[in-house]
Amino acid sequence: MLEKIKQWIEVRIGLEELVNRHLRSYRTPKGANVFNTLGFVALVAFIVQVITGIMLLLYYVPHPDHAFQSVQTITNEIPYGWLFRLIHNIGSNIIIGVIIIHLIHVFLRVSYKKPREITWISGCLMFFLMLLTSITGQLLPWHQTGFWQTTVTSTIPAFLPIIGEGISSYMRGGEFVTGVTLSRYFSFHVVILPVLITALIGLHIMLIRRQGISTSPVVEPQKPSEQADTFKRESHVEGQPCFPHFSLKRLFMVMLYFSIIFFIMTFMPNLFLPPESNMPANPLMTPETIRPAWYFLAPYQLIKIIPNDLLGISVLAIFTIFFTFWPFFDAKEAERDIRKRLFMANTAVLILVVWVVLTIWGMYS
Amino acid sequence: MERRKLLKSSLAFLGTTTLISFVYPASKFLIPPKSNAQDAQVTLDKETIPPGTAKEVTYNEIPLIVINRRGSGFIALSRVCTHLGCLVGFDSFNNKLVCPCHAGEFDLDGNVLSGPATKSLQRYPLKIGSKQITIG
Repeated sequence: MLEKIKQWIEVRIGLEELVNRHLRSYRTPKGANVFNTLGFVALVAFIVQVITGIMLLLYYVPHPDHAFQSVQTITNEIPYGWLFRLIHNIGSNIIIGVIIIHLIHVFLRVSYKKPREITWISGCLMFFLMLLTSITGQLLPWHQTGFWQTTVTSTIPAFLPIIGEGISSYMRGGEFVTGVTLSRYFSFHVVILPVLITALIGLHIMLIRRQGISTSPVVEPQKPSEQADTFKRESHVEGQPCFPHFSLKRLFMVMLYFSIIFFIMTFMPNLFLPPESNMPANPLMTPETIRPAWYFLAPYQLIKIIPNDLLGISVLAIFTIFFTFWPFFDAKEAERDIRKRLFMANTAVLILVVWVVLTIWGMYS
Repeated sequence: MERRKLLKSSLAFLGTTTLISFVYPASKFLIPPKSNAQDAQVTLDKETIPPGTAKEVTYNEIPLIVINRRGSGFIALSRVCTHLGCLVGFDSFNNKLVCPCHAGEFDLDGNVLSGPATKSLQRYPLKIGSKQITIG
């Protein structure tokens, strides 16, 4: 019976041919390891966020008078509402972590070089859009943490001369965080940003499929596609088929991703939900401790320690632009193996250490 | 058992278990919650509904109409049309209830007079005191 159903589908869709062409014939480079699966894990994590987000939307009310109560109802009254809320909440942090590790891995392997400049830039843009999605999502439960985090983050652009005030006002939809801000953040969080991210995911995957997965510089120091003046796809004939070999690595990492979510949910359910997130937003009372999410602690601390706000935000903006367009700043003929580029390797490690120190400092200051 | 077959069966078992562990809470989550409406009573002054008139009220989130029928006294009916759920209105001139969506007509006891509806309007029990009417 099962065979008959399979045959019925096969005749109409040609699944076997599809799997052969896109998974078995699609080959991964020699030396591909679990770090190469992080893009796929990020994709799965994004899909999980979309599914759980849609489920939460069934009960969430985007209005200042009802938003907090609707989230409390989801958490405490709707069957398994706590499960989907926590997956969405914890998942939003894990996905940022996965993308950060993915970006660091790609950077250290110098995989952003020709012909992959657009792939790198689209990845960076997706990362920034994910951060924006996170910022806009924090306000939606209309609790004290989200309300005051939004007040702080929407004030930061005001440090910029001339256009700063306008950006802040545009973000809030007025002078202060109000119901108008909630409506704006809601539409950005559930429609505009996810649509933009999905479009960039499409572009990113299309580029990877067209160019082939980048090889490790240790395995292949000079890639033919970097030298060529015409388009050259890296088919990795000597590598392993994506299915089943590489797919098993992907499956392992996806299971690890879920394991981390369920570990946090079981043993540290309030890790990303501070006590203030159980209090409804009060525009007349700022909580004593109000900190941004962990991935914003480094820039937050940097702005705090630099005495001039404009200088602080300028440093961040310049760093962001350099990071995003790094493939164009990096020397064209430079060595791909970062171990042979001591200055770049040391600078990258130094930036990472500073970032970690600032994060820890921000957490305890 | 063959090694490959054992692996396949184990994978199928684990996959199914994982799927069920997601599908079960998801299906429970999607079931609509019970209404928060309380079984509070609705009390009306008899004087506010003279004979031949009606008053629209809401009882447990359900729109009702309380009619003072000439010669037959008070009655409380659901305003939800039994055809497709639009709300019926009181036609005092012709002494009937009319649905604006598909022109369904009901008499003042809630029985179908004409139109696509086949069931009578739901009736709600009333307690009639000397000065007040109580629903519920």
